[in-house]
Amino acid sequence: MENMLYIIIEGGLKSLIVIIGLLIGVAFATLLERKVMAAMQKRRGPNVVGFVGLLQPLADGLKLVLKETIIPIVADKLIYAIAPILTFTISIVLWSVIAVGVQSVFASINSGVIFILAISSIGVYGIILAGWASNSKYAFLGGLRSAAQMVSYEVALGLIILSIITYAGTVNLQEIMENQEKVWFIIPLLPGFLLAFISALTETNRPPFDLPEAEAELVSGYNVEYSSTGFALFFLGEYANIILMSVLLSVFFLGGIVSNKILGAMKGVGMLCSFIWVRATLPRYRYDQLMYLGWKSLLPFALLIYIGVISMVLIIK
Amino acid sequence: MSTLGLLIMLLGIIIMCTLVILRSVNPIYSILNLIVIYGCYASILLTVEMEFLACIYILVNVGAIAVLFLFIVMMININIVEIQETMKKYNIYMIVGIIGVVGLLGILITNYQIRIKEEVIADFSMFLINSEVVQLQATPSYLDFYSLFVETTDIRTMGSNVIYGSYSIWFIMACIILLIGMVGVIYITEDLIIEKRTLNERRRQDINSQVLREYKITIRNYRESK
Repeated sequence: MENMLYIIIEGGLKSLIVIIGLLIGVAFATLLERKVMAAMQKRRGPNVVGFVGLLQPLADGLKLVLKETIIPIVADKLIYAIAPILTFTISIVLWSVIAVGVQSVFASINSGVIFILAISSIGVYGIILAGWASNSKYAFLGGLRSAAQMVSYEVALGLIILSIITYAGTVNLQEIMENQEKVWFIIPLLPGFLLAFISALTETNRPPFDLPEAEAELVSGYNVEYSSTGFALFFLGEYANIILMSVLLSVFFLGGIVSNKILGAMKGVGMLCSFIWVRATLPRYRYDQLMYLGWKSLLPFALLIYIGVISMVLIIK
Repeated sequence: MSTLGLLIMLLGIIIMCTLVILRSVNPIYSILNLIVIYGCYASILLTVEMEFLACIYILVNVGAIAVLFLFIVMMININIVEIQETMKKYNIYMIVGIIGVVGLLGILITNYQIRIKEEVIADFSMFLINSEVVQLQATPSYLDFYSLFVETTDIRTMGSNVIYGSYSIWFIMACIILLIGMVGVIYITEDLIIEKRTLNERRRQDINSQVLREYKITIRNYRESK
């Protein structure tokens, strides 16, 4: 019984560290996004709250939480409440297998990559349920649109990740990182990296594929009916997913965190900056163009890469 | 909490969710409970340290199949009054289901004790004939997958021993059944479409033209088409 208590306390403390670190990371990722975009567009960006605007995310978060929570009368109240919680929880759970250092990881499981694929595929439910439970046409259509987008690009991303698994010969994230000590996977698998980058942009609903929240031409999306904390949870989950995707790309292709922690963190931040760079540069896609790109361009190309990597590995063996 | 206690708790959740699936009026709640059941099943796999199988189970069933169900059910306009009337005829099957669940639990408990703790057979010997006890003790002559799973990683065991090894023929047969299923569905729907649209001259799917189709040709600007 004492042993059980010890395990619970240890797990609780560990997860608390992960969650607090993640929330701070998300807060400053929003600031980073606004600052980088401002620099690209020759503006100053947020610079009023705190020293050079460092407290801006805190002010934003406070404003968001203090707003009035509105629940539509016709909404399915239980599912309406569950959907943002589900999105946020899943985006946290995914972080449990990401290694912060060589041995400092919350749960070092053997099939870490498959775990990430499996849990991130549940993330669609938050969006579908939010759209359905709001009982509004716009939210419902937006939810279906986003779900179709995420499901279809998950296929291409999964194939690229499978080819990485085949190339590295393991499904453990830490072993994949250790395999890249001599040469990063971006050098032999450059086309795979580009495909994975595009798919990651779509998976996290980032521009140019941000159709779920196209506020100008389509009425936002699955989160139109949400306000206050519900909206904040969606927002946090989305940014946590963005940071996760950039860290995952740096783990799969750029060597991740093996020797130097600061260098490893810089790789992740670099990927995050490239996400923002894409947002500030490219215009939004049309929905049929998005589907065309996903099923007719990325998927055959990803299959080609997968088969190519398998045959390469088999020939070398 | 022991593993058996956790297992019984998960089974309890599964039974509760099954009841909700059968009784709920709104099919969306049925599918959500189905997802909970999938999660419980994956947790059961995790308790016996089969991480890979659990992850794959969630990936395939929750991530792909249940999403499609949810999609379809959400887009169909459902008349709730009709469902309430048709629900009544399922009540008889509930009894059959409960008997089945009890039987399954019995099989599970007895098998659990025979396979993992052979000494427990001695405790059960008052229910069994003497020759049966001897037979049961001599039973485990099959390949013990559980020990293989524990010895190496389960993905290695799955690949080298189960799917591509001793059970490869069943794997290939499952693939063929899946292929037949997919082709059959396409064939049936194609026939239906042809029956409905007899006026349409292009009956067959021209895959080549579909793949080669481009935006610039098919989607034209409004002003250009004028």
